[in-house]
Amino acid sequence: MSSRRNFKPWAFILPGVIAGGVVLGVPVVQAFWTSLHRLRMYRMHDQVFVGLDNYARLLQDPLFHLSVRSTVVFSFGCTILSVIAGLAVASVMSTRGIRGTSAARFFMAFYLVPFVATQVVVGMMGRLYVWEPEYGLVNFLLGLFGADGPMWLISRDTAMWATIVTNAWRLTPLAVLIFYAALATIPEELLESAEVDGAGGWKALALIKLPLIRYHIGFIALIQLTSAFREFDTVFALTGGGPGRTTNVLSLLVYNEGISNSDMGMANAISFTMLIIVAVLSLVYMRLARLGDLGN
Amino acid sequence: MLRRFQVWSLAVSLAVVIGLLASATAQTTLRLAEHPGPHVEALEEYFIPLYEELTGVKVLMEVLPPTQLWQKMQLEAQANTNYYDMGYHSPGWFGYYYDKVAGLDDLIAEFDFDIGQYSQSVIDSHMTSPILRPGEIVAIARNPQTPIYAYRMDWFEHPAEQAAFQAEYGRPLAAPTTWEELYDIAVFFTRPAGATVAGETLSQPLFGYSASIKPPGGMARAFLAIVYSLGLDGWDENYDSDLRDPILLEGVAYWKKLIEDTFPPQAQTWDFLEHLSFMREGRLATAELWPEGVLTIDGGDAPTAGKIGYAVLPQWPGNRKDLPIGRGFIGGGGMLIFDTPNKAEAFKFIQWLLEDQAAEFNLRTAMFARADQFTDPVVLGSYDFYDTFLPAFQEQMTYGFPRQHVAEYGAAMYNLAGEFAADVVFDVMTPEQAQSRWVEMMERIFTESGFR
Repeated sequence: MSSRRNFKPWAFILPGVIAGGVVLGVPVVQAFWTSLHRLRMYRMHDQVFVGLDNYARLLQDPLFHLSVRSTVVFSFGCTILSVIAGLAVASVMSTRGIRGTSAARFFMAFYLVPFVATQVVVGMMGRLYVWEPEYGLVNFLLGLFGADGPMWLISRDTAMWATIVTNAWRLTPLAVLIFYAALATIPEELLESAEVDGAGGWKALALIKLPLIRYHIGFIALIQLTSAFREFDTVFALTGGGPGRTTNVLSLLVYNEGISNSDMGMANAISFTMLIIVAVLSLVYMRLARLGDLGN
Repeated sequence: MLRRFQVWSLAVSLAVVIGLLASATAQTTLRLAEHPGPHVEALEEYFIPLYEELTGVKVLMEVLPPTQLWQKMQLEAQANTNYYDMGYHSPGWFGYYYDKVAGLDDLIAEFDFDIGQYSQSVIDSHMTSPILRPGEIVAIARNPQTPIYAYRMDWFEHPAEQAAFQAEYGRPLAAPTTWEELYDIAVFFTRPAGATVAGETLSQPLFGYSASIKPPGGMARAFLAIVYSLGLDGWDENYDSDLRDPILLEGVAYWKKLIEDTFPPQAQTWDFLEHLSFMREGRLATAELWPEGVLTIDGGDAPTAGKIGYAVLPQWPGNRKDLPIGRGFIGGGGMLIFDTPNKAEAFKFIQWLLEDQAAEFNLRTAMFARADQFTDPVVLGSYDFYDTFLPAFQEQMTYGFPRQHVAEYGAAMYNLAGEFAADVVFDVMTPEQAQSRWVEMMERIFTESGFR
């Protein structure tokens, strides 16, 4: 009876484990296997086993180190910005007097636009309409105040920040949705009694709301971090990795090595290294944010 | 009676629908992968509709940016999808799908295509591939070309500009004969908004020289004109790289200085020919010109029409081959046919376009490939600028660098040239580091392929 009871939950999750194994496991194993080979796109029939040679070359390549740095700055920048923006918008939207109104519903739908837009479209819009130095929105707005904006995507000082802001804009709606839903679960009486005790506004946010939605913040930050870490489309459409290699994040390096330089072995080695970096980052983060305690 | 009418109506309707469906499926459809350029508009608006009307064959053209084009053609070819029946042919990309392309000798014989219209150098560079497909014609050339120098002739001839240049550099303002002179002229014309040029006040900054240098593809295309002008080939007959030569460092230092001092900053976001729009708008004084862009700056509707002068690329003194002028690679392209069931129909379309319509094709695109185009009085009389453009174009073609026909060209030379130049220009690496990286990667690629 006891063994049957133990078996039951496993039986329920077995189809999911098998499906996950096939859908995730097979490509991961295949990517790792390819990363151990020399495989050029123009000689697909000529696959040679080279062991860990691709990894050894990768670790010595200054461009890989540069891309890791760019990816870390980009990922953390996007995560921090989108979480802060998401919290700010969700807090305003969940304020008494705004929450539940038709204006709030309209803005919630409005905020979802970047989230449902295709990433390439977001990148192209950013390049052509937002950051474009002569006709773009940002420099137009700066011009209203008499300021000359820089060439955002062309200058090495500003390209990364413009790229982070664009991608954070795309990621923010998810944070808004989750935080808005989380804030709605906080009992009204709790906030009212805090208000009676003199803890209104910022104090209530810092001492009551944020602690109560900390798991949601942790969860969203993890999702945004891993999403930004893998980001390709927006960066490719926005800057193509430039100027120079300023925004050449790891996923673009994979593309350059695999497609432009035809080195599929190296491209897979970078991809697999990315997987390891994301996995380690996620584990460390989950431990720090105590996301593992969530089920308890 | 009514029922009989209904039955007949139904039967006739069904027959019509089935007939339409059958004719639709029976209609041959050719899919063409194309490179951007002036020929696209001509194909889209004139040639393809006319061909469809004349033959009933449908031609679907897909235009992709250069880099995506060869990548998509490669993926479709390697996956044997038969997605494209024909495509733009660049000798530099041919190695990516050389084994999936149809040999054309039988079709040329069967349809009596006049191969004698093409010079031997064009056949060698754009129609054959001696290492990958020895002894075969694998493409039909359409616009073999190599970069030349374009300049604002009206500004060069303006007395005030002449006098100012003479006073500053001690020589007349004329098309440059060395790359250093090209730099001087570019610096001379680089001026801020509010300054004057040829007596006119500039409302926007004026830039002295530009090419489209988006890394890695655009940068490679432009920078290779320096590499080949230095007299370097990339590698020798033993597949040892000749890029260790210190002259490469001189070349890249010059290139960095030229970009920093005279190019519009936007040039690094331009892939191919976009800089010519700046010239057309009066914001650029001199430019690298891939000849297929000539209509942008000198076509009938261009504000700069009649104001452009043309010259060959200048010499790099001390270059390793004693070249009297500079040179880029012979680029441009032609049309190839993939080995699909439609290959004969695809060949008929290409023959109609490039042979039967040769003069009309030239009139609409200003692209040259065949001997009869260079002698046809209708063609030669169609644009005034041919008087100055064609001599520069033809002289430059005799010095153009024919790219080596190996599958590794793209990976070892083209992409790495773009990465090398970009890494130096944007201070990602020191020139020496970038040079070592290029040489090591190139030689490893050749070693892997068994050439070394």
